[in-house]
Order: sequence, then C-alpha cells, then structure tokens
Amino acid sequence: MIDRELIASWLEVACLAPSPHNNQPWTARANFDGVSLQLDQQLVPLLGPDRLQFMALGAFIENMSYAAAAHGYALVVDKLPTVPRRAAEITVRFRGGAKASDNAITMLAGAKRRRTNRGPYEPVLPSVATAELQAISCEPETSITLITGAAQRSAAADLAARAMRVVFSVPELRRDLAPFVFTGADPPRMTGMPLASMNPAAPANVPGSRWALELASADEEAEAARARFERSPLHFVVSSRTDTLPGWIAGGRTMQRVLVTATVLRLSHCLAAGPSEIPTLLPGLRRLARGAEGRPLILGRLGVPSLPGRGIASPRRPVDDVLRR
Amino acid sequence: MIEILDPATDGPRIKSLLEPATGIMLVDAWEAALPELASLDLPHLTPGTPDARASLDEYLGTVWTDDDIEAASRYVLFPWRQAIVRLPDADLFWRLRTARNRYLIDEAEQSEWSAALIGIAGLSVGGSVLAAASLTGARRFRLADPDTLGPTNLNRLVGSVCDLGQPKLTMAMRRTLETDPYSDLEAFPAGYGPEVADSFIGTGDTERLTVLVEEMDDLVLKVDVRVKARAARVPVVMATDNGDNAILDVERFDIDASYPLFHGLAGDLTASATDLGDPIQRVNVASAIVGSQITPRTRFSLTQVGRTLPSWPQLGTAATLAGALGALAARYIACGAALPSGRYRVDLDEILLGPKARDAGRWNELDEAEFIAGLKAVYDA
Repeated sequence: MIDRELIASWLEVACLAPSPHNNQPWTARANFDGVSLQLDQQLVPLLGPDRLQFMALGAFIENMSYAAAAHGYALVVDKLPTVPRRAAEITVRFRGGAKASDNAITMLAGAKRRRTNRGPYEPVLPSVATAELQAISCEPETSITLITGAAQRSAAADLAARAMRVVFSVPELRRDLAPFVFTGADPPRMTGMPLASMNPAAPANVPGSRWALELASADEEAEAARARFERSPLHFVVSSRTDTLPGWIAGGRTMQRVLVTATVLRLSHCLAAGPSEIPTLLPGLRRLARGAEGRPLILGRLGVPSLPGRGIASPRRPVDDVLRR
Repeated sequence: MIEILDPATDGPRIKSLLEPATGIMLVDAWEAALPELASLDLPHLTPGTPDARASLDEYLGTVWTDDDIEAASRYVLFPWRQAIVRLPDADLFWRLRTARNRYLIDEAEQSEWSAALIGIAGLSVGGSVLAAASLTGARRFRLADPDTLGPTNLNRLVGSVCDLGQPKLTMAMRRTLETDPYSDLEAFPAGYGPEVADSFIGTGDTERLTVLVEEMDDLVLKVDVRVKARAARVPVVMATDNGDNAILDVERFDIDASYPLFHGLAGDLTASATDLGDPIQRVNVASAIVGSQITPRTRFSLTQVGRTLPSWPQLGTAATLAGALGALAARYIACGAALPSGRYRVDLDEILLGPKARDAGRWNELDEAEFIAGLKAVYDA
C-alpha cells in the first residue's frame, strides 16, 4: 500500500494539469497500489463528446507520472475501455523501485510552473526550441505535428478565429463557458479562468458569467484570437490513431508533454480546442496535421510571451476536494 | 404469443427450434445492430476517415466479442412468421429503438412514456394510435377489440389481405411485438364491455391505466367507458376522422373528476344512457358530440349513413393523422405536459388549400346550414 500522503502529494501536481475552461473535471479514489480516476460529472458540460474532458484526465495522469517518477515510482495505466462513457473508471497503478531520473525532476518542475498565457507572443523562437519539441517521445498511437510555416500558421489562426466566433455565437457554448469565467465581482472559486487572462480590456466590475453570456463580442474575440495565433511563431497539433477513450487519454498525455517541455524551454502556450471540436473546422485542422495518421485532438500555439504577466495563475481545486474517501 | 429465450438458461430449447427440420428461419439482428450500436457509442466519429475505421475496429474487437454478443442476445420466436430472431437484449434493444428520439423526447420523458400503461379500446383508428405510440417508445398496453379484419378496413388500417378474417387485436399485437418484442401487451379479445371495465381500466388491485385511448364505434360503450374512467380518474383521449382531417378530444378526468363527458356537448349522458339504445337518439347524440364543424364532404357523408353508406366514412389519411394525434396526446399526458381538456382540430385541407377548403361547392359537399337541415329531415332531429 502506497502512503496516502505520498499519493496526495502526486495528486497535487496532477491537479495543475490544464482542462477545458479550467473546469478540472477529475475525481480520484486511492487504491491499494494506485488511484482510480473518473470524470466529475458535476463539472462537465451538459452534452458530450467528452474528448477534451478525457484529454484533461490524460494530462492529469501525465503530471502524476512526473511526480511519482521523482519519488522512484513508475506509473502504469490499466487497460482502458474503448467507449468514452462519463462513468468510465481509469485505474492508474504505481510500481516502486525505479530510480528518480534528472528528466523526471525537470519535468516535475516544469509541470509545477506551467500555466496558460493567452496573451501575444514574440515572433521569434529560441533556436533550440523546435528541435527539443521535435524530440518529444509521444504516447503510443499519438503524434505531434509542429507548424512553423507562415502560410500554415495563418491557416491555423483562421481556424482559431472561426472557432472563437462559433463559441460566442452559439448560446449552448456560451452557457458552457459562463460558469467558468470570473472577475473581481465574483466570489472566490476553485475552478474557471480569470476574465483578465482572456480579455484584459473586458470590464472587471461585472460578473464573468454576464460577460460570457451577454457582453462578449463574437467578432472581437475572434479577431483577437486570429491576431494572437498569427503572431505566434510555432503551432502544434496533437493527433491520435483512434478517436476513442484510450486515444483521448494518450493524446492528453502527449499534449501535456508538449506543454511541460515548452515550459521547461521557457516558452508559454495557449490551446484552441474549437478547431478539433467543431465539425465544420475539423477538415481544416486535418489538413494542418498533415502526415499525422489519426484524429487531430487539439491545436496549440507556443512562444516567448510578449507580456509574461498575462500568464495569470488560475485557481485549483484542493486535493481534498478531488480525492474521494 | 411470442417466446423470448435466454441462451444462458434456454439453450436446449433454442437448439431444438433451430433444427433444420422445424423449418424455422433464423434472423440474426446483430448484423444490423452492431454498426448502429457502434454509432451510438461513438457518435463523434468522422465517417470515412482512417481514425474512424481504426476506432471502429478497436470497438468491435474489444466491446463486442462473440461471447459478449451471445450473452447479450435473446432468441425471440415469432410462430406466425416461422422465424426466430437473435436480438439484442431488452436494454440494448431499447437503446437502439429510441436512439433517434434523443433530444426530441428527453430521457425522463422516454422513461415515463415506456412505463405508462396505455389502454386502447377499438383498434381501427386505435391501431394507428397504437402504432405511433409504440414507435415513439410506449411499451405497455391493454388492447381491446372484438372485430376481425374485413376488406373495407383496408382503406385505413395498415394490414394484409393474408390476414383477412383475423382478429384486429391479433394483428395489432403481432405488429407491435414485431416492432418491439419486449412490449408488454394485455389482450381483451371480446373487446371492451362493462363486464371487463375493472380489469381494462384498472381498479382495486389491478393497475390503473395512465391514459385511455377510446376509439370504439358503439356509443353506449363510449359512454360507459367514460363513466368508469372518470370514476377511476383515468384521462381519456379520442381521435376522430374528419374527412382528411382529424379531431382530438381530451378529457382530463385525472385532473377534474367532475369534467362532463364529451365536454358536455351532448348534455348529461349519464342520466340518459339507457336512451342510447334507440337508433335515432344515438344519431342525435353522436351528431351533438361531433358537431357541425366538420368538412363539407364529411357532412354530406354523414347524411348518407344508413341510406347509401353502411357506416361512418373514413379515410386512410385521416386514420393515420388521428393515430399520430392520439399518440401524441397520450404521451403528453403520460409525461406530465399541461394538456387541458378540450377539443382540438388538425385541418390538413385548410393548411394546404386555405379557407376555400371550407366551401361546399360540389355535389358531395354540404355547408353547415344544409347539413343541420339535412340531418333534421332524415332523423327528425
């Protein structure tokens, strides 16, 4: 039996993983030699598909693997169900006896420092960054496509802009977003994104939900997203061979490797889920992920932030809230 | 009427039925069901892409092995078809059958509708109501009709000449069970009558109907079943043909135990029920209930009943429409929608032709005044 306190400390790192709107849709239960994970159905949108939610669980698992590795434990995920039911249970086991590597310690530090920066990035990358990112070892049956060419980055920017326009034009999607945006006018919370990190010009004295439901302009948000993606020097797409629950978990882990590696390289990142989730945008994302045989799962941009202060830390659910007895 | 066999417990029976000498045909529903189950479990796949193909291969290889399929199978014997169908079990079949209803009927409504006990008395228009109710997911019925299928029924009742002379009840049950073998049907082959009122409507220890769909021809029985439904607080729905149109009557005896029969259109029928034995009285009461706001051709036809027509004229269009209307009203009531008592009209001819559909210009059409005068002349009303 692994010490519960030790598992709790790994979960604390796991909880720093990114999730859609920072909804942190995870619950965990400690087992004899690991933890069982599930989606927290209180925190997921009314309707699926839950691709992004399970990818967040994949990122959660990846973070936990860094923390466990730093203590000499290897993380193993039990065979996953193919069908992504919301009640699906994902069992993660830890095998002791491994030696903590320098890489594990570096990645753990990166996972702890990682945060999304939705602001603009400098147009030039540090020279070693692309090669380091290309060297990332992907989870089986997943792949990373790095996008550096100006024309392709422009195409990606167009997808990001169109996705943002859809999000703010469809009432159902606005309603999904609203509970997860907050300002100083809202009571403190454990989930969601500060509005200032999304749109620094947005009014700080109205509740975030009101901004999301009524005030946000689809055109303005779309054009802001286009500008930020156009200017970013490097984009990436994570794909998986199958569009099933195992593919999503593996894809989430690979995505997190990109984000943490980028953090270690002192790059910031910002994700755009819309191009993968909106059916009319998916063909464009497939073209961008050329050569990757599989389903594109997420688009992201990387770069040195022009405004490091835009990487505002989002709140986190405490481990006690995530770990069920 | 059918046998539902579980391979875990009924293996020898299944094996014997499938012996070549029995002549029973095996239909394996899984061939059609598996791709549809895959599309329900993985609705997000993009058809035709390599990842969709890889996902489906993974799905079929991990979720549905041969052993999984057999464990989730039931063998359903349809004796009149000389067929046995290897079908997904009740829960899986239910998922498949209601998959295309999603969001149009939400999960709670679908569950309430499937649990509702629907009584249908009269299986001509009632057969259409039954079909639409079963298609939308109702699964529990009490069915009553004493008649057999005749050639003149084939203008409005979906049937087969192979079934002429068969009880309408048998045909309705077969059709319902072929659509959903897991349906729960209770048959009243002598039709509705006062002697079966308690067991049909449900009183005492017998489960009470959620909704009664009343589609009988006999006015005495129409009154009797309403009197008893009202006493049992069972709501009554009736859909009536009107040319190519349909009229829906809703009597929410469940909400208002003093609501008058037929909305009070024919007065206090409980007091004069014995008079309904008189043919002229019957026509007068029926005319009062139906009213004169019917199509010009229906008006003309009604004046011919007993003279050049043997009975109330009906069309397949109207019977189909009435079936949808009756089933929808029953579902609204079963699912708790606020459907008030009253009369509702669906006039397809006016929707398509506009107000001129109300004009009585042809020899077989009567306006309202001519109709009332005609009835008075014929029946001395």
